[in-house]
Amino acid sequence: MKKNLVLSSLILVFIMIHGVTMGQKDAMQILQNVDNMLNAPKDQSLTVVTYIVDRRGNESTRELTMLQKGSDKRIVKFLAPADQKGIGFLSLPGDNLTLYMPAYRKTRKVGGHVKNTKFAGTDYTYEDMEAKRYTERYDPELIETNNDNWVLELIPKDGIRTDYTKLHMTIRRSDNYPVKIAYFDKAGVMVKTLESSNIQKTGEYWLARQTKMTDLKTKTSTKMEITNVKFDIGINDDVFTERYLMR
Amino acid sequence: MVLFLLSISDDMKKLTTFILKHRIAVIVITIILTLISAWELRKIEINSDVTTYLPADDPSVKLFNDISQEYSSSWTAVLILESLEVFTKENLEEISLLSQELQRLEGIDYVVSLTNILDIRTDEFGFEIGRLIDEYELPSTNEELEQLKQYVLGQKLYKHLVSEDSKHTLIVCQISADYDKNSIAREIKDLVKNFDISQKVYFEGIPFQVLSIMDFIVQDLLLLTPLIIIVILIMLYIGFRSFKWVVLPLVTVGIGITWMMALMSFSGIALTPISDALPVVLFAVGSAYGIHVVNAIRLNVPGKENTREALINAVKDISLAVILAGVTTFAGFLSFVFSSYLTIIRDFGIFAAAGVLIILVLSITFIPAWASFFKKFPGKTSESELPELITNPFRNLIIKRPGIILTLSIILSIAAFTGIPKIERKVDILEYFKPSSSLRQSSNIMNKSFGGSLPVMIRISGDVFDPSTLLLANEAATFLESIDGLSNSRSLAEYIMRLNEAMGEGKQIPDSREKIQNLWFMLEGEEMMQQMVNYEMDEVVVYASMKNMDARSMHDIYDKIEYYVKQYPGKMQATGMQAIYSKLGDSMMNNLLQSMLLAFIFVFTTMIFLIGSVKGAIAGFSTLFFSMLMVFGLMGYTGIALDIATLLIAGITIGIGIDYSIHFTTAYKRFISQGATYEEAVSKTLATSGKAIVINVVTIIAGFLVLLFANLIPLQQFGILFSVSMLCAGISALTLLPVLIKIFRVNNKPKKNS
Repeated sequence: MKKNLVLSSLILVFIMIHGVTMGQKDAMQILQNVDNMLNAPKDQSLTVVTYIVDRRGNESTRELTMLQKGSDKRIVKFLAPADQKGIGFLSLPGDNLTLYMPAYRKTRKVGGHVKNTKFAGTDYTYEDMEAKRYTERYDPELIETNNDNWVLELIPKDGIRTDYTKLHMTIRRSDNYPVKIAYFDKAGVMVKTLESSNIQKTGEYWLARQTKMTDLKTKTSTKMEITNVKFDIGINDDVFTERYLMR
Repeated sequence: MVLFLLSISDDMKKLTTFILKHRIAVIVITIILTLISAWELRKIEINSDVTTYLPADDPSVKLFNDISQEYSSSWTAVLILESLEVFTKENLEEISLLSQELQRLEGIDYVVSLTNILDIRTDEFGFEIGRLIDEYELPSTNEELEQLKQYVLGQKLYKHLVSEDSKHTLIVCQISADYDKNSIAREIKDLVKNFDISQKVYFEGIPFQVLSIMDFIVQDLLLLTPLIIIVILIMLYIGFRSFKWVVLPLVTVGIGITWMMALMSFSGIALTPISDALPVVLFAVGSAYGIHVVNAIRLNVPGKENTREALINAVKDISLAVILAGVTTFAGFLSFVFSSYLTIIRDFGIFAAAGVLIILVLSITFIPAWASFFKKFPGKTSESELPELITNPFRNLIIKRPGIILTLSIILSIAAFTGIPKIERKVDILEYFKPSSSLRQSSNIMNKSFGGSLPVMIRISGDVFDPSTLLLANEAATFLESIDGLSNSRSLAEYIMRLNEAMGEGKQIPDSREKIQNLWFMLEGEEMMQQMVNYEMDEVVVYASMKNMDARSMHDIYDKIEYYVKQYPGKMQATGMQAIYSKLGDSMMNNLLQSMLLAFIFVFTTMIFLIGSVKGAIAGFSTLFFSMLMVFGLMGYTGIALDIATLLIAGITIGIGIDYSIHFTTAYKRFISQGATYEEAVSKTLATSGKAIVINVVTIIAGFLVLLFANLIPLQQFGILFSVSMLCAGISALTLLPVLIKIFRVNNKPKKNS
């Protein structure tokens, strides 16, 4: 009797461990596919128009260009409105962020504290804007599967600094594209959602031409529309320098 | 004139006959209306939001409301955290967690605290714009904590967040403009109560004041109303020694108050800290009409063969005086309607007047109808002799030593007159709470450690990106800070200067528009900025904090700021509590004088009608004038200030105090017309109406003293002042008035045509 109990317990434990590892493995594979898909282009050049709607419903527009190489080199320059034209950011590996202010003709390093502050009046924080691989930052778990989508719950890995305690990522099964991400705060309350739409294939790569970040607490939203995109154009490393930023 | 009064008397006889004929209908209709009113009462609302009491069309109030609305700046709920040292790891953890919890509340737009405030730091490599404290890596070693402390205490931007002795820090919650302030204040309090926190928490700011006032209104209603009923029951029982006679006037007033409050609820007027005293005021004031009617019935009906006829005659005799007394009181209350800057005073005036009218009508309809069902009329046998203990010495004094009364009145009047210039004004809502109240404690901390919490604002119009606009904002901030009693000025200029410094160009306003635009890019979207600039970027608001202080000092600050702002016409406008309180103070004085003048006119006219001679009216009026002088003298000498409640004193004293003169004069005239001499008439008047006046004065004083148990100080002081004024009005009607009647020779000979 006792032997049977021990045996059945062992089997149960085995099944459980196995089940969990299987689940994690599948989830990790899905997230890996997302990362691969999102980071597939060697480099990219985008023109983006943002529409920011504040809590009173006022809308403001700005336009920027972005050059990105790999997943950790990025340069952003504002084109419009006129009063922000020329302002630029250079983001390099190792939390290295440089800001350029054309009116001063000076660059300044911007510290790491800035991460959970809003980026240029949008609903994206600097953290949201970071081009980092999800698999490097999160442990995924598959929490829902349906005909069209997988839903992963992403829990930050130990030692990762983030404002969120978890993310729910809805991934389209047909192309591994994350169509929706819900962000949860420390109390486990959903505070923001990021929705991707108008997902098109440009060349070899899938890209959402429209994304919308909604802050559920402040009732503000930021829509980003990609008006122009080029992939794999062979951007030179020289672009990701302060000198280029100041041009 | 006499014909007019006679016609009222005739009409009253007809009315009373009609009422007695349809007495069942009168009683049934009264009961039905009372039941409907009681049902309506459940919908009555309470408005404790002090800012809504001010007239919205006043320029300062309008600007204040506009800025509050556009910049969502004036609705802040502040938590003061007290400990031996703010900068410990445990405290910072608590502040961080509590800030996050508060941020999650639905009605809070955003929270600013030590652990999430925007910070701009500069070093040799560049600058950081971010949070003062990294929420994920709170400083924990003594060295880190000390470093943070020195940095924070050295920065101007954080002076409004941490006290200089680092024993207090604030968590500032910005309330959504469209969210119910009472609910959010309660939610915050509940959250803190359930939060495991080692620091002592004080609650500060208008939302908490509003919540406290709300609780006080409910407490006062629940405590004071039963208390006044008990007091009046006791007083009436001492006077009448009969349960039957006691219940009649009391039930009548109760019904009247129910109708009046139902009317309030029906008109959508909410209860305020002033109108929550209405039940007490109306019980004390309105019971007089019932008492006089009951007294007339009690004295005239028992023993008469034709009870109905006797009842009609008794009501007829007294109703003229009761109606006139009621109408003058009605006029006294109505004097607030035309003269008030504060809507709560106006509402109080309207509904007190309505209440008086209702009780008056009930006293001459419902009381006779009910009394007619009495099978036995308890007569004079059970009457109390107590009032005579007072009226008898008065009679001797009036007849034998009138000079003493006159001299004493003149001396007292002169003494009181010298006290009038000493009267102070109190406008600060904080002063309405008891010194031991937690709101006063938290304000003391704010005054001592944070330079106060009352908002002062200057709005500057102009392109925000234009350096001249920000230079002006900076200048205005420096100016505000230079005024004694003001501190913690803050504006966009301060942030722009710090960022300019970070860009290596010194802590000053940048010299070009483009530079300001570049710097604004860093600040845009920061929630705090919503308070500083408008969406169109053509206005900035400069803020400062003001300490709680007396009305005069606040007025000085108001004058200084107005003078400064006027140098920039079309560019600068100032508002804030200094403006609102100054205007409130001025308006209280105007309000007092206007209501006094209006009440004088109303009541004087009534007196002329009643007495039929200007001399007689002046005689009757002198007693009132004497009472008013006494009250103002008392205010001057005791330091009881003029405030939103005590400014009611003039109108009410005139409206109610005149009743004693009216009752005395009508009775006196009746006896004179019956052929009595001056001495006989005075003796008889003192024995009949005089007695009723004594009972009424004592009842009304006891009633108003109930207000001593009120939570809000102005109501307490109102109770004291009013008791004093009624005492003076009563005594002078019983002493000074007969002396003056003799001096002025008012109707002291029987007239044939009367």
